[in-house]
Amino acid sequence: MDDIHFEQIARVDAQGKACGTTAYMSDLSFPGMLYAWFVRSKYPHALVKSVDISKAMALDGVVTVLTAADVTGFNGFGIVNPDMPVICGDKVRYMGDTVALVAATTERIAEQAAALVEVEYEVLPVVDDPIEALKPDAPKVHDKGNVCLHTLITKGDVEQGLREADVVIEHEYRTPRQAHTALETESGVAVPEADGSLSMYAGSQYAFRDQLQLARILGINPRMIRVYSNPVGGGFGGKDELTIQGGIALLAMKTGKPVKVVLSREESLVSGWKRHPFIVRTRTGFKSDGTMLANDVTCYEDKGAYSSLGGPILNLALEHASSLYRVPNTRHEGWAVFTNNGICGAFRGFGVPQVLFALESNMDEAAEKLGLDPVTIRRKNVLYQGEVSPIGHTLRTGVSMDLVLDAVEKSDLWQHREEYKKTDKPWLRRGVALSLAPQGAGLGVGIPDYGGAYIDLDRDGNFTLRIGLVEYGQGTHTGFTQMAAGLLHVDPSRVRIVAGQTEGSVDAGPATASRSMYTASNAIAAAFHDLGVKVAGALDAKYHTGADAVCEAKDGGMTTPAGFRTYEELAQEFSQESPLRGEGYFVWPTADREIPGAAGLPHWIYSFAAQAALVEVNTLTGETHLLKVATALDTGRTVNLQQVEGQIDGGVAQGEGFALFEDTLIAKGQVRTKNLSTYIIPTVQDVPEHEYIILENPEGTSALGVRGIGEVVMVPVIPAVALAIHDATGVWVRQLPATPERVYRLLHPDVQ
Amino acid sequence: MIKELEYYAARDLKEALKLAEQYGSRKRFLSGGTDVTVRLKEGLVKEDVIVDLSHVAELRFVREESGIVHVGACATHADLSASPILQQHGCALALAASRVGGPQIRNMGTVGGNVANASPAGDTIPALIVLDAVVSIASHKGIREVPIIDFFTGPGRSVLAAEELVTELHFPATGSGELTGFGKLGARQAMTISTANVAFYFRIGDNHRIVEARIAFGSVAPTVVRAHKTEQMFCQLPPVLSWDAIRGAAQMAWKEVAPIDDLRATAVYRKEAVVGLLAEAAYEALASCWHER
Amino acid sequence: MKRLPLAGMNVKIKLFQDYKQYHDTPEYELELPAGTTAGEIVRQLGIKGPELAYLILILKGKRVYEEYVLQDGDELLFAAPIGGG
Ligand SMILES: Cc1cc2nc3c(=O)[nH]c(=O)nc-3n(C[C@H](O)[C@H](O)[C@H](O)COP(=O)(O)OP(=O)(O)OC[C@H]3O[C@@H](n4cnc5c(N)ncnc54)[C@H](O)[C@@H]3O)c2cc1C
Repeated sequence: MDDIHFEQIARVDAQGKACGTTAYMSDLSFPGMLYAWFVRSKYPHALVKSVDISKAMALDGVVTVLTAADVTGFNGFGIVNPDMPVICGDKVRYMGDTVALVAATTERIAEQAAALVEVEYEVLPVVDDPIEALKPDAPKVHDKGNVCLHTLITKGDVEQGLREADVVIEHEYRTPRQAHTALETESGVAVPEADGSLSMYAGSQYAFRDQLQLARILGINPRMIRVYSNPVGGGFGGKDELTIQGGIALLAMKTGKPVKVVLSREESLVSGWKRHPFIVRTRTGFKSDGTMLANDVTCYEDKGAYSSLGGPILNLALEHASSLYRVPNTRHEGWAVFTNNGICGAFRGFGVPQVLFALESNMDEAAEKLGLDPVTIRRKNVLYQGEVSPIGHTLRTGVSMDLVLDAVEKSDLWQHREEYKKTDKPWLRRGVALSLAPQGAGLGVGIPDYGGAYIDLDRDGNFTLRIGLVEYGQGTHTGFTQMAAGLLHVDPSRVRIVAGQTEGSVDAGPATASRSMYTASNAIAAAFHDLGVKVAGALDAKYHTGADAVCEAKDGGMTTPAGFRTYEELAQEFSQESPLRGEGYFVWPTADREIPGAAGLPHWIYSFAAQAALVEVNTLTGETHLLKVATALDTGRTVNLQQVEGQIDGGVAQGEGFALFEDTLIAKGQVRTKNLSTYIIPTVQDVPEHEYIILENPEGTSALGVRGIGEVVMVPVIPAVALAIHDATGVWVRQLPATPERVYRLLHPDVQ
Repeated sequence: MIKELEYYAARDLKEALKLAEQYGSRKRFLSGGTDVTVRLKEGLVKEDVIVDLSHVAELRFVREESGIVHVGACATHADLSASPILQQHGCALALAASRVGGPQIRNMGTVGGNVANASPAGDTIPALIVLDAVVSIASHKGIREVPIIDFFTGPGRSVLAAEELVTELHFPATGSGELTGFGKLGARQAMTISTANVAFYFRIGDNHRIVEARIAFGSVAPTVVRAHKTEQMFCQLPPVLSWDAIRGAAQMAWKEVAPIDDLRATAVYRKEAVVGLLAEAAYEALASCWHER
Repeated sequence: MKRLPLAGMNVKIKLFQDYKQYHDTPEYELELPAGTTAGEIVRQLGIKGPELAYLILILKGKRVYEEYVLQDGDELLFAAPIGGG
């Protein structure tokens, strides 16, 4: 479908968002609405002996207070294992655990009542280090022990490979507990309806799964629950799992009144999902010409208190632990380990940034030891389509490792790096480094990965695209609009989107895993095709034009066996009672078999990016500024350039945060960085200048050639920043974020 | 949760002083509110009356009169950063104000609030100290003047009595032959509380040497501190732009500060970093009048 | 209107994740009388409780529900929406 033209329009949601008129779910109010308060645990690890709600109930304005006994269905949620209680009955495992829920007529009363709930605890020892937590005598977070998942993937003989290597780079790396810090905190309104059903208005990444999780919690039929989750005020993975929905659903069903909650930033930072910190132990062996021989990687994932997606994240990390380099001998082992360190779940990159920081660092260190340059050593090892990956599967879809590497090498920043590195201040040092990354897209093997869309021809001849995938800022709805409009040959202003709701839109899977644009491209194309079939069918029924006739979109209408008809004409004739509807469904291609012992692996389609970074290090203070980043990205096909650049800008800022600033500090289970003055994210003053290099190598399995790009754009920049610090100063950064003090201490190892 | 408060917006200084007298220690002044509102939210304000000074127009000014620069307590950081008077006659203060928070905070936050708040990390404080500023304090009883170095008694504590407020800060206008500057170390480029900060004042004599130096450090002791020994070291420097020599002089600061470990940084690192911070800022300033040999 | 076959029909069942435990093999074929619904298969397998609440039925990329009347040649997937990223 190369002939399809994508008009470069401004974001379809720009005006509402810029003017503040867009209503997020957290902006909604309903008559008679109550306010919820989550009574959180006082300890990071304790048995709950008793919960006395009598004083709280007695407070004027309190409508109800719920404890674990009031959960009507299954008291647990979790995308993979429902091991996180909605209300803890016998045990708390982190500071954000809920021990009771309050609904009151005002938020103030709800908060006051929460303070009156009396909980008797028996404090348990805290386990706050994943390696300690693996020891047999460690305190147990869950009865079954602290191992959430253990995965081992091997190929060849890693010890033999390391023995044959001319140089072995062996290090331990540590990565931060990054917070999503979406502008909209976890929030929403649960509305009980007259027929006993429930409407849930809460921004999230997958309404259709929320519906099922809520049904499980409430113990009612999923179809008694309607979820509205679009638009979302920022997600980044933090709204993939349920957050507050279970609590407000229970309160709404109990009180029969709408119940709202909007978490404060502090409560969000203490109770919300985070990125898993990893400890990555590596031994990487190279021949003297730079050829990789072996990579031995052991990851310890700090799972925090509950499973959520920690297992799949560990496995995706292990899939990428040797990137897509040609490594004959590998041993990738990982432990996802429960601790009392908050809770961790999905986050843009999904385990890949953690392991590639380690691998790409080893790569540059080997290059330095072997006298090779960073591009040469990588080029020697990148895989091509048809080759076997480090975890043993054959790469059947497009591989652009070499292409993004070539492109970033040709960037202005890399070509002129020696000039960029000049500085006239004696205390400043500048460095440039590069890195590249693949990022597996989609849900992987063994998990049905599907998506549907409807294109409705409305009464007025315009279109409604119905698709589950939400807009949380990525710009996908602009892309969906352009794809639909391009296929239909109409102006994008004629397509509106209904998304993220279990009624009125179609299940298209989660808005995660770099899968939205790709899934939508195929679902929308299928729906468009079906619309043509429907038009032909309608014409045939009326004019007997033949059931198999082909209708093709052209200039605001369709060429049909009954001649050219504008969409207005078709609508006039066929869409007056109910819209003529094209239905499209798509199933992701996957590998034919799973990597043994590694659920979900391998992934089938990858995104690719390479990034070069210029940093300036102040050797007197350790302050590091990221000045410029060049990004080479394969979009498959660019639907909207501004949105692609927007993803790069945002991804680089989030990668920069990971590399230089962000970490949720937890000491003995207590969060110390409870707001945005101590949890440091980059400001507009901190983000770099950008150089964009967009490649378009169409992904063959997308009807429109597109690939997902949302995650990969934040990955290579992380090692690139750490390695640029090395280029500037000679020190290797093994722990991120590279805060001023951390860098200073690396520069001055004598300082105690 | 923000508690219920009585709120008064004073229309002028007289009314502010009257309200201050009337409510004494029950009241808390609010100027830009950028510190008070944060405290309120955290439940750290024990007072239950707010007296808002932000409408007191007579306290918002920057002017120079007969060699003295006067800065009104309600002048905002944005006012200070953009003031041509300060750029010429008190550069360190303009620089310090320009590094406070971000644009929104600079538009609201005031120099009076920064001083009265008495945080050891307050960015304008070291600048005011090296400029030898005097704090004008008013109450219904009258006005008293306190040299800024004597104003602070501990972290968050000052000599201000309950019925008193700061009306202005004033200091001798700097002129030719006088260099002032400011340096700040934070977790990022903007919106960051200083991990450490420094301000300096150098008077350059006819022999091009530094004949008088004043150096103050913030965030490295319970209050902002003068570094007298370091000042002497700078006065002994030969008038030649030498990075090693300037850095050597700054090294003395290590001994003059007494920081603590906190979430932002360890004490040891702060000691190391202030040396660099001073060396860097001083080098940049001295480069305007000294040359490499 | 499609005419339903009078006699039996063949349907393929594919079980994913935890639903594999409900049958000896994760994939199997069934011969069913016309008019059999997806819900009847769910009950035959004995899926109950929280696992029932979290079950999705997928037919060629399309969610179907318990009242769906199976057609000859259908391949019905039983899964939980556990993917993320
Ligand atoms: C996001 C953010 C970033 C910040 N960044 C910085 C920074 O980089 N550097 C920095 O130094 N500070 C920073 N601050 C702190 C604050 O903005 C400054 O201290 C500011 O100067 C306070 O001034 P204000 O007018 O807002 O004070 P207010 O909040 O109005 O008052 C502060 C205190 O001073 C008292 N007070 C105010 N005016 C008077 C007066 N005239 N007489 C007597 N008492 C008075 C009040 O009662 C209160 O106790 C930041 C604050 C925030 C919220």
